[in-house]
Amino acid sequence: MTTPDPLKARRRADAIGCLVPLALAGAVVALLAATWPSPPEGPRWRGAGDAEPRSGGTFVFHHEENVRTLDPHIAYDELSGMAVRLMFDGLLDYDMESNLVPSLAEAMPEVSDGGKRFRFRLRRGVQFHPMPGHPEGRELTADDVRWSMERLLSNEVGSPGYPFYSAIEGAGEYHEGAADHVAGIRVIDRYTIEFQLTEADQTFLNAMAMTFAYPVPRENYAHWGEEVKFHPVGTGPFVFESWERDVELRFRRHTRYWDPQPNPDEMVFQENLNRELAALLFRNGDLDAIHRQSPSDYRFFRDAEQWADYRDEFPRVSTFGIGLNCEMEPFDDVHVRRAIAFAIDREGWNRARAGRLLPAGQILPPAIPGHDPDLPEAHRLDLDVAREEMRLAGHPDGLPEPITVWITGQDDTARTYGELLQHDLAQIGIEVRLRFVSFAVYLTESGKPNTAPAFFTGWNMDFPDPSNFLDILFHSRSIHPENSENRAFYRNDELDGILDQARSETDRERRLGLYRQANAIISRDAPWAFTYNPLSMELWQPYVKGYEPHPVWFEDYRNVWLDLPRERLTRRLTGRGASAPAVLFPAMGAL
Amino acid sequence: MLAFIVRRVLGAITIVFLVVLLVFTLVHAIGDPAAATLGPNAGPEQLADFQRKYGLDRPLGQQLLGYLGVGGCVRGRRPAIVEDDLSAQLERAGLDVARPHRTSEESALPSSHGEITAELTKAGEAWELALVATDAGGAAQTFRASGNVDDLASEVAEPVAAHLGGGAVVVRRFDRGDRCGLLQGDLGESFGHNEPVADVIGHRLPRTLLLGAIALLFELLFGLSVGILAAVRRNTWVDTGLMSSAYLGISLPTFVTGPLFLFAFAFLYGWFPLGGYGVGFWDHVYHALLPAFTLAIIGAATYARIMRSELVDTLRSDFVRTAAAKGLPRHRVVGHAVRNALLPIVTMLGLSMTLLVAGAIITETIFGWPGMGALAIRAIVNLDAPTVMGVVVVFAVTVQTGNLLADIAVAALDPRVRLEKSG
Repeated sequence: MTTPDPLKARRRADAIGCLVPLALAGAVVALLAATWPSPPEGPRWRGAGDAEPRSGGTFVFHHEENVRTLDPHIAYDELSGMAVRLMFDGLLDYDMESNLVPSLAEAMPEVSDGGKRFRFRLRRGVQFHPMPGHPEGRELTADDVRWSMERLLSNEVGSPGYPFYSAIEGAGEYHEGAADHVAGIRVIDRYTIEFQLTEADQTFLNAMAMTFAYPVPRENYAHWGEEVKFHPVGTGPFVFESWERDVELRFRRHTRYWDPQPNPDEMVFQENLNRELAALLFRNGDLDAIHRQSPSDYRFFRDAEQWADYRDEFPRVSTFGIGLNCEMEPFDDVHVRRAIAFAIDREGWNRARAGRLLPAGQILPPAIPGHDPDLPEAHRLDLDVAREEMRLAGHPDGLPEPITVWITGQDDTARTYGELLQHDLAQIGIEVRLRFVSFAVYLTESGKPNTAPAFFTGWNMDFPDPSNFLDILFHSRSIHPENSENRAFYRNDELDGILDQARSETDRERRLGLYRQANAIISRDAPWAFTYNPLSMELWQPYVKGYEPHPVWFEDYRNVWLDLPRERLTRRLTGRGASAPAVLFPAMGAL
Repeated sequence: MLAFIVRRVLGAITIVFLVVLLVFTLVHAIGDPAAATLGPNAGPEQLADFQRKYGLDRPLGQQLLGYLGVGGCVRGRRPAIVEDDLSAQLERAGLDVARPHRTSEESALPSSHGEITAELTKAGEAWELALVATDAGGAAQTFRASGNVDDLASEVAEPVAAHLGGGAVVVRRFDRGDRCGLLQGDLGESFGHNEPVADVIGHRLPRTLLLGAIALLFELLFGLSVGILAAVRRNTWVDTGLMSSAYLGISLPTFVTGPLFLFAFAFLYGWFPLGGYGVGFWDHVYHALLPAFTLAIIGAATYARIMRSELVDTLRSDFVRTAAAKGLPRHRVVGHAVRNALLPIVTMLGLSMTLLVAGAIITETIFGWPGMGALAIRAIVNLDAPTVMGVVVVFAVTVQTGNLLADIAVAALDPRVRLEKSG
């Protein structure tokens, strides 16, 4: 009899053992493959088919960041704005064509004193939400508007909106603490209020439509003090209910809203929900609307035919480009700047981004008045023009030294843009070196003279008016020793004159004419080489009605209503009710 | 034993302090928080306002001392307002106000001047101001006011101006009297959230702890059972199979397994919720299962490997052989051996805290779990320095406490450790 060789046994054990994880993995893959449910391409639910708008139900939406505050005087970021827009109204608002329209004001204000005085009449019977001391709410008056504006302008609140209202007479003294009230804000009677400006400025109306100027009730601030940002009270269509920090906010329908409309009974705003998760939740029917998608989700929704009726793709009111510092070599030469502007292959960039860009050749995006679709000076790809400009600059064979372009963001998208720029400019003999910096460093450093020679840049509007692009980005007044908004350090007396004239011009057509002129000058002188306006896609469930992305507010859900009860279109293969074995062994379920 | 604990505690405090120093310098060196917080649309006055309000205009060394709470704090917005208000009102009353503690300029002070030191305390909803004004002749008087932060300055301005009489006055200190600075347990005010860092973290820390606790439970459950089974069946295919599976587990990073599990088990099969946190304790636990499992894989595999090797050693030792020779049933023999092999596992528990905390940052982001990890990432991106510091301090303290407890536990269980270490 032979004794078993221990070494041999050990080897056999090892050999079999090594196969175990492989077998395990294989088994898992096989099991998954056998039971892999193919997710439905299209919506899982559809509406009841009621043509009549109705109230009721719960509408669930999301954002991937955290809401910072519910105080309209402080809120400046997009998602705080989404919450603020549900609970508050302004004197003025924008319609679906970006036109200013009255909201809490009865009509557009009377303008007098050469465009320096604005008199608003308030709508009567506008009710604030219930608040401490007023369990039923109370009526909005001109005193509320004045108190709200003064709180906004005070130094103590530190509102980021202050600069938009500094043209009000006495705003500066009040901000410095040298006056008890703002001299230029006058309450005429219970429903009438007047604003006096130090100089004619048509953009004041835009400022009055910004969320900063939404009226709030004084009692609520007196009662809550610093905590008021967690206890918002406004006049809007929804009343604040609860906020589980970093998770979700809940709102319920305001039953005494001045402009009654069908609305969901409850709105749920899920914050801190990243876009990948949101897309999955949306496809499950657990989320009623989404915006912003990862590249793969974007392709999925764009190509899915069944979603075609429930999506909208539109350009954001932002313009992106390559900023060229006009005080630094070689960009102090307009021909070099123009050469770059005409060498960028915007269609190629768009292809690389799966069609998510709208190629841009001017600073004003399509939704802003003054944008000219046929602008002759607009930047476009034309290598002949670009080479001619290089010749005029005295560099027919390209630049002897490489240029440095600052770029923010470490993600693939930023890197892609950087490489595309390198490729495009190589065509005219310019070598590009990319310098990756953080967004904060870019903001601080590019605002200092002679620091950033060229940089990827962009601008989001504060309000839909051409001055918000042209004045802030290219007026020489926006150049400072630090923190310049005019990061290209572009100076042009002719442009400054046109912009100053336009600012006080009250005739709409003449005003627009001036801005068109300014727009053309900027494209001609190319302090930026414009690249694109980003496109944005939003989707909503078939049972969500009354929704259309707003040209100014974008994700603005205040007019939504739900066509309930919703009906299941595709059977969900599994679900919270389904038992695991039935999923794992479909055959068992069949028996 | 006491000496051992004291030495370890001192060591832990030193490490936390060094971490604070290092991270503070890094966070404040990489960019301007004002620009990052206010964004590209902010004008120069707003940026300057922001820097002044949060003391960012002071030299870095002073900012650090302020953060620690040594010799004046980095002021939150409110106290700075009281000081600004008061100075403005005194100047209107004809005094010449100098504030060297704000600008660190000692120059050009007139030889004869009055002085002001003040402390602001928050008592419930109200603020209290205690202000000592010393006139040029050296006569000191204390002024007090309380109530709304907006009215404090106006309440004392007139009597203070009257007491000082006129001429020049130097504001020496204007501090938060209540919990001020890290040394007194105050973490400052978040730039992004406009609220105390302690509150921001307070919401999130319990969530991360819940996730970590469940993950730790999984690690121990799977890790120990696999390790014991492998040791008992050592050198058979069971052993090799389990250990190579553990290898596979260690090699799978959470950023691969997380999205995979999420897609398969939450979206396709629908067994688990699609990320998020839920409402109510048991719902939180239900939401935590999948992220906790993802987080636990690597830890469980590590525990399994350590448990196996320790148990294999122990099973070879004399006392086990004696027990077996005396005819003790096999499961009782193994039971004794396991208890002896657990010692290194206790040490590992301390290290586990570090791994769980580090792993949580990625896992929480993938699963949309609103905990410390997600907060840390956002705060770093936004250069929200006080929040970054707060998170770092809390993480450092957690990790140090974990290690400390593990060390003490080991020392308590095994006298050899404390003898060696104190010898």
